[in-house]
Amino acid sequence: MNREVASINLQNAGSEIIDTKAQTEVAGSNIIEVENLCMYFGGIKAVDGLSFEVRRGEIFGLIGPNGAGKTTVFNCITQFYRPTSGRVLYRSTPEAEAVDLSTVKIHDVSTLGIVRTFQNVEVVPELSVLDNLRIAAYRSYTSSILTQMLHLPKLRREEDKVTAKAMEVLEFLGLTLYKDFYAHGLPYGILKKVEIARTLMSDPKLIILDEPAAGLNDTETEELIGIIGQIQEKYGCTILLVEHDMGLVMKVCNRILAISFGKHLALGTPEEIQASPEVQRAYLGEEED
Amino acid sequence: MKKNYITIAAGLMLAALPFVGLSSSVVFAMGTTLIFAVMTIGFSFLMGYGGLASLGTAGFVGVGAYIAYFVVEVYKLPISVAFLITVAISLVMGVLVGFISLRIEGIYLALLTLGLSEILRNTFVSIKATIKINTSTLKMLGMPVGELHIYLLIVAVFIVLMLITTNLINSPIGRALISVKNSPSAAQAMGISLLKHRVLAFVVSTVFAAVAGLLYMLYVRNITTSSTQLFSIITSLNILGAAVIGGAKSLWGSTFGTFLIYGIQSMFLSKIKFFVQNPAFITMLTGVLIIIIVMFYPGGLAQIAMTLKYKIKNLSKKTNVGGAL
Amino acid sequence: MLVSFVSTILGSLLSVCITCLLAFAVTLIFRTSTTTNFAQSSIAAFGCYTVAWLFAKGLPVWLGAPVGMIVGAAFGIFIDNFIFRRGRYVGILSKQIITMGFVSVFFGAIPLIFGNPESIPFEPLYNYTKHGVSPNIVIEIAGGELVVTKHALISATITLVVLGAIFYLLKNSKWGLSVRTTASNEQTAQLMGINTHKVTAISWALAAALGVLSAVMYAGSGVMISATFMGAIQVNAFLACILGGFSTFYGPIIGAIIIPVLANAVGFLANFKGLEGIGRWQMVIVYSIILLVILIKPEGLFGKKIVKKV
Repeated sequence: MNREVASINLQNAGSEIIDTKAQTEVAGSNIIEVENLCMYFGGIKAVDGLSFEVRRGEIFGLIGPNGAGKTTVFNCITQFYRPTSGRVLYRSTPEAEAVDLSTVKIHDVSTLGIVRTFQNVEVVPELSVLDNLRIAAYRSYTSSILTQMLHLPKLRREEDKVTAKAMEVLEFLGLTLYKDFYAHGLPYGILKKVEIARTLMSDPKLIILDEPAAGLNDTETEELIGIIGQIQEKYGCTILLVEHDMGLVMKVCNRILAISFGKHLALGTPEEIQASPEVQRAYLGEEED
Repeated sequence: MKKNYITIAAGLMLAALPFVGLSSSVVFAMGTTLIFAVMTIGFSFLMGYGGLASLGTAGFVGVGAYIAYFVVEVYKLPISVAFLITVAISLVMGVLVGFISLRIEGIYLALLTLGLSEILRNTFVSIKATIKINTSTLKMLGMPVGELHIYLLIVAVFIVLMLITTNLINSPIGRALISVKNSPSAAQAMGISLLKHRVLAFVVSTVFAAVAGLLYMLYVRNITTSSTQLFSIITSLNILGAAVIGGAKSLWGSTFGTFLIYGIQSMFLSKIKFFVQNPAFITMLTGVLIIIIVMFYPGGLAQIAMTLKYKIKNLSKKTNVGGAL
Repeated sequence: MLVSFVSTILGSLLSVCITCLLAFAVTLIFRTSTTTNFAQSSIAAFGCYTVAWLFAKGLPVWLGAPVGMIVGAAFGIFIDNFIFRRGRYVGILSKQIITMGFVSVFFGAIPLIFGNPESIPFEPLYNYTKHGVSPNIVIEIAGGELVVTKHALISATITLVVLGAIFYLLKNSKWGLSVRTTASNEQTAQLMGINTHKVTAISWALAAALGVLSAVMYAGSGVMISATFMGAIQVNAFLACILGGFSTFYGPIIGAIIIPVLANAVGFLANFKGLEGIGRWQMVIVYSIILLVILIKPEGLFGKKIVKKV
């Protein structure tokens, strides 16, 4: 109850609130706080004054009709877009200071523990599955360019460590068989899993999945539901996902935010969302008579 | 690493060439081809791994050649100083182009580097139209240096750069470059900085090109800038062609491509009367070869070699199975 | 001073025409086939050699030029039909490399077919000296002289008429519409029932023909013909295209006007005290200015910015 009040306050009063110590503890339970986010492309308002927060450890779903601005929200969080106005605050741990993500460079976002997948799989086709995973651990290497040019023993040690970790992740997702396969030509379902495996390589705190079930058949979707649950359990991270497959969203998500034309529509548990008249209207259209 | 031993062995064989009774003209042709191979290695790194196309190679070659001329001939300083200055200046230029590549991409970038190369070429002509180094001024460690020494220097530089590049490709940096090439967005999401890696790719290719220019100046000793093709777009296009024919993702493949474009003509065909009378015929054949390879074997000769190897392997497997039955 | 400045700028008239024609040709192919055609200048040189060969056989240049253009167009159609259509799934970079392969093919073919003479006799579209007319028009104004060559004037007229007609057709004809549609999205154009095959073939033919025309104009001004003689013009045309922006058809034309005019304007500075040596640095200065502009506005002066979607 207390929390809800705080979040309403946050939406209304904006930034001052997080400075006071009393609220910091409450706010600390949120991993992401989106405040009044706006993203305009010329005259098109892709995201228009959206505010919400994601609680630590939950699976949060973002749904909405096509063109509602879901992916744009993701892109604003991961800094692919610079929001027109508003801000996104992030706390890697409950005790950590809130970071305004707009001050973070796009390639440093992952070092904070925020990793993402893409709508159309972005796996490197000309590398093996194992190498794809090793790329994702890029920031954990400390070898200098010189060390890498000369292949000094230090690099070898680091490579061994990363490879061991990659093997562990592959094992976890049941991909060990594919480790030496080139990504080029692997089935779509496997590639989707490889992309998820990649997010696990950099000690994620928040995993952002952009339409993880798109292009998967029913069995694969079932499997994916299991995987998402297992990831949350094993790695203890928060998961934020956009998805059109309502079955998946309703099954895995703790809370769901429905948006339409970049605006807040409804927020609540899957049951609440299913019952919400606003959501039904946005998906099915206004009734004529 | 096994690959590195093969490279070193190849280097020793190349270094032995002048001592096994080959005519000096063939050795000289080999030397110049290796110089062009240095350019191609740098270019392959840029194109095959960085996914960036540059038509500025020729300009950077000129930078190296002019630095060699001024340092060695005009200021009478040792070759090592020329080396250091060349690397330093081309490094700065590579960083600059790398920064530009963040703003301008694809074909636009290729044309922009072409413009840059033209600026450099025009500057060279304005500074001095003919550059020449006297044999007597060439000294290394206080000892007079002849053509043979420079040839050995070329082989050494080629092998060292080959080793460094191979190692880079098989390192985290190499993989990061490939991921930047395939999807800049995904790479950034994984924490890879576009700027750093594009700059690195351009630095490698410009430094290699400039070092090649320096070696060329020391080896050939006489360049007429206004009339030579060396600093014009022809060289840039030839290097691009060599990388494509050989396969830009394979360093030895693109070295072989360089050999096809530069080496065969000067080493073998120049002995055959028909080709001496019609040098244009080779140019035409090179063109046809480039077109055929690009159309049907996008991975270049390296891809053809891999396919062949795979087929032979399968063939021997099959015969083994047949024997067992 | 002003008059001599105007006269200097007028001196770039022929370069403007040649660069405009070539820049338009480059743009046309870039828009319909998404590649920069490096062989543009080599095809042009080949066509020009054909004209010179016919001239040596007694055919005047103004009659030979159309023949040369047809030869060029035939090569254009050949390249599009047999190479680009076959390799449709070849990437953008590979397409460029294919055109680069054609540069080598033409470099080799020209000496093989036409021999390698020291200098090939050639004359302007209309030979004034032979007909006993002065090759220049001199206008006396405000105590100075404006000098224009008649060759430049004729070339300018032809360029204006040709490009004017093409732009009118691009805007108003069914062909123009299909070119513009193909340029904006080839697949959609196909789905809309446009024969994109025909569109690209005509574009290649037209581009190659315009290249030959520009080469004939250039050769007519008295420069020596060689396989590479259009190379520098092509570099200028490419830079004009990125300066003006590939996304419109008129942008590259304006770029192609700016470059030669700018070059002559920089050259004019040599008239001032202390700047006498600037002529040597002319192209360095011009290219540097252009590169600077492109760096500030990467999409070109008239280009549109495209937002990437992730």
